Amino acid sequence: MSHGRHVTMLTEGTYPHVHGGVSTWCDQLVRGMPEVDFNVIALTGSGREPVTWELPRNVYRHTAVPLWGPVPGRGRGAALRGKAHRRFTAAYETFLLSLLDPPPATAGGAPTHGGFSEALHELAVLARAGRLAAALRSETVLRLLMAVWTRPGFLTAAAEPTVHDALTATDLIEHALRPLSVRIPPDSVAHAVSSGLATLPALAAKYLDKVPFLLTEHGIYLRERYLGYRTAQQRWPVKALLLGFYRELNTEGYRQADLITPCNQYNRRWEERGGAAPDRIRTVYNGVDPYAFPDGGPEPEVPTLSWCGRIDPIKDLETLIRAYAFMREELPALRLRLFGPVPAGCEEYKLRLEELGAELGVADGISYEGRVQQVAQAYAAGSVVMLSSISEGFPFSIIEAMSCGRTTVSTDVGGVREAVGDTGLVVPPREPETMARATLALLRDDERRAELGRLSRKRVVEKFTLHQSVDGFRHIYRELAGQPVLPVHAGDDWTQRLADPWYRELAADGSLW
Amino acid sequence: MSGSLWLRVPGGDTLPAIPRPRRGGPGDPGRAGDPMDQLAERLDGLIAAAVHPDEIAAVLESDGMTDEHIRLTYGRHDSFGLAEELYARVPRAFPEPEHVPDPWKVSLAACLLRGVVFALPGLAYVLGAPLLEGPKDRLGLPAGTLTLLAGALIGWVWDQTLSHRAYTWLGLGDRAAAGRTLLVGAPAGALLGIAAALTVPGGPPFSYAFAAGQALYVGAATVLLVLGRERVLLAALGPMAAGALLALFTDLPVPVRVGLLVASLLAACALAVRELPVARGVRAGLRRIRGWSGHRPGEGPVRWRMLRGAEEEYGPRGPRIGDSVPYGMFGLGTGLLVLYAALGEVLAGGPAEAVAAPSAVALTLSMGPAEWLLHRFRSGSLAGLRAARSPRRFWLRMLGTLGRCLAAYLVVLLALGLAGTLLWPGAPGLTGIRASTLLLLGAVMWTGLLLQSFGAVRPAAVVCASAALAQSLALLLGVGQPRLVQLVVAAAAAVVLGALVCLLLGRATAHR
Repeated sequence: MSHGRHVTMLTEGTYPHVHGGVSTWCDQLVRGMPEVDFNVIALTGSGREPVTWELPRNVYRHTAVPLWGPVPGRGRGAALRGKAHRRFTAAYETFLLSLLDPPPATAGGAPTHGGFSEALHELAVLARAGRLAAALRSETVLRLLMAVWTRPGFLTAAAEPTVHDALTATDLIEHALRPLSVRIPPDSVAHAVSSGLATLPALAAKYLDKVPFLLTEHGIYLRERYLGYRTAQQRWPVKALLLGFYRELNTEGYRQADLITPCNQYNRRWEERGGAAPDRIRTVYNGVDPYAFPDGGPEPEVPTLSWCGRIDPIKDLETLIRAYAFMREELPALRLRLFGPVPAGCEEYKLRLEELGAELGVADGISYEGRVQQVAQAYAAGSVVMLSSISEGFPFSIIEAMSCGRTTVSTDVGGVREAVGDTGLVVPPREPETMARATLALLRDDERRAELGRLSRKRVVEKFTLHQSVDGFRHIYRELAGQPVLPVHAGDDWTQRLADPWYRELAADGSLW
Repeated sequence: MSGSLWLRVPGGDTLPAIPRPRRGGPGDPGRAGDPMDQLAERLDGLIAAAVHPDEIAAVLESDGMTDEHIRLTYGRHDSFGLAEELYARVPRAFPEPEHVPDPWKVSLAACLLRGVVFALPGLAYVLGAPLLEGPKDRLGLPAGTLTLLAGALIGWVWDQTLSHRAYTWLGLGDRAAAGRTLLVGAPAGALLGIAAALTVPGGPPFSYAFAAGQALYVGAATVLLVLGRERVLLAALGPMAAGALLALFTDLPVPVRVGLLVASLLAACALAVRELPVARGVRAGLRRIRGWSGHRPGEGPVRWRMLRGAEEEYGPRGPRIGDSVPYGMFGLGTGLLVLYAALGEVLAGGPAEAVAAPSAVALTLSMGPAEWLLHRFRSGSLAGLRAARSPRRFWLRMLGTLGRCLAAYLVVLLALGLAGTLLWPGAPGLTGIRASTLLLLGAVMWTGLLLQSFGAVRPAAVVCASAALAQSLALLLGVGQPRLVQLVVAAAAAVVLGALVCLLLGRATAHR
């Protein structure tokens, strides 16, 4: 039995191969708990992606599981025959039916899962025996999918599925299910740091070895799949099946997880919609280190708006630039400094932004600073820190800015409102004029701005320190590993109660912060 | 925030293009009408194509619509409620993807170029012929023929295997690993080819030098062909080919012949070396040797390196040797069959004049069109998959495509055979039985390549190797009339391969 000191961390396309918000969070967690042994299982594309994070000593093992590598399993001779084949076919049919014909979800209520759980259990057993991939590549499976798709009464029948659709969909499902075969040490706590495919090994371990299962969500995985699928070049039946798979898998993750820890209250909406029991959802906010993001000191002499992040359409910088143009008319000296890299694929977006700035006649006041080494200085460079995104989880850029003692003007998306509280202004997304008016009011009132900045730092130190965030998980690991469960009160003040004793232990361990 | 591996969309496309409200849209007091109607109208396409109400909720939220706004403007509780109503209001539609890619589109010129590059080295024998002069061997073949054949055949088999390994790495997106494979494999193959040639006694001295050059060339050509440098290889063959053409009309002095042969060989080798990571390979090799003797650098802070792969191995996995060997077997089988087509009658004791060189040349040259037609078949069968609503319908369509492509290949082959027979000085006439053998052999080669391109190389290798074995046995035991044996063996192999194609490729799952 585990004592909460052995954790299997499951990631998909993030830590330790890719830089970004979730990876930063994982790194903080792993480094923050030097006394816990971490087994990191990373789902990756080809399995050959380089490790871009330096793994600390307590990560005792790292495994990259490729979704797109060669077919896993026992190869020839793994084909199912006779009774085993009939049993698999029946389970797979249930599986397909549960993806395509989900019982209607009632508003706010949890949809019932039509056999998905049982079917996935069956498939997990096969996957562990190394026989699932071969079974899913057989002709029977293809014919079965064609038959299920064209059943009378199914919407997919009207979309006229072709053999090619069946082949594509079956292939995608086969690749998606590969993580089912990954084993998790039975004495560890399985911690999936996103919903979806990363939960598959945890689900298999839960079904077969009763391993405790913790699910953390930053973005809403299902929501991102819905939005991401629009650019895929596949016909409707494939889309219906794959998104059905993600939906059912998401729900199964929510149902099976012993605890779900979203990084903001806002995510709860989707989680409860997806069938998560409210009493098993516990918000653990992201945290920053107030020492790494110290008080920014005096404001710049020229009134400046600072923004930090990736130059990406999801950040809706058009709105920020329009708002800036509006403010320039009132405050001609005002500058806008954009800190952050342009990710691959977003170069065109940056060009569009530059054109927009020129069109509005404010290009001279906008500077693109690129990636910066000292992020804290980027926040300190602004009189006010801005956020114009149309979608966010619990943005690090806001709590980091707050830690630097800067007040913020941000759009009301995701967990932003929870982060900011009453220490900054929150405006509706995609409304440049409202954003401009709110910011102008702050820029004109030096006293209020300074007071809000002070309150911002106080709020971070009280509620969103890295320390509290890591402590929250340390406690949860122990709890899931069978240690006595402490009562959970409404609200999030419980994270504070735990701070002290662990802090000492950490200091003794010589942790990194 | 969480990165999906599935649908890796570049940052620019993370958001669906959502039609923006027009000026004076919802929320504008100047415009009358139900805001729900306006919203449904604005998002009509997105709502109609949705697979679930939650998809619409995701779109609404990504559009920046908050629950507060939804309550105020639309009087629904939240985005889910609003989405459900929109989903019910707009009938489903199934838009087709905008552009359907055809990954099998390939330029005919590139394939023809490959065919030429396969056949062109044959001219080296023309250029080198005076150097190989000597008494005819006991079969009545020109001196050194068997030496050269042994080297060529072994080199060919090795390089088929090597190509498969390198192509597999390229398919996995690991060009560096492909380079390493070739860096080790091509020189090894060249050495093997030289060794094979040396084991055949009795050739004139120059034939061994020629065989060594040939082995080196095969290695270099494999590197360049796998890495897609056909044009470069063609340029390297230039001096030799020009010399050979010239030699048909005038008598070139020996030093010029040798010079041209060596120039082409050196050019091919130099160009191949340029494509390979030689320096890095040498460094890695030295490091490995030093690693054997020196201390193990495992004391760093990163423990996972050592523990990786303790129970399960998910790390980089290249082609298994067992997967590559059938490619070599297939190469051996087809190589022998082509050889027998050209020399079978001579080997069986016939007159030396019966060398049916045009058949072998036609088969080699036809590899270009064959490759192109393989792509046409895959393209056609993909179109069949996309059009068919049932596996049976697909099977019928596949058979149609198969028939068309095979017929086209055989027509090309026959034309090449006829042209070769007419142009080749002193070639035996293309009689009915020779033409049938040629066409049947062509069918065996093409269907074998087809199976190989679908990954079913094992049955293809078994059939071709068995056919070659049967013919060798018949030859050794002196059973039957050689031409008849060839015809029967080729026909049997063609029938078996044809049946295998219909059986294996009729399954839609073979076409993934």
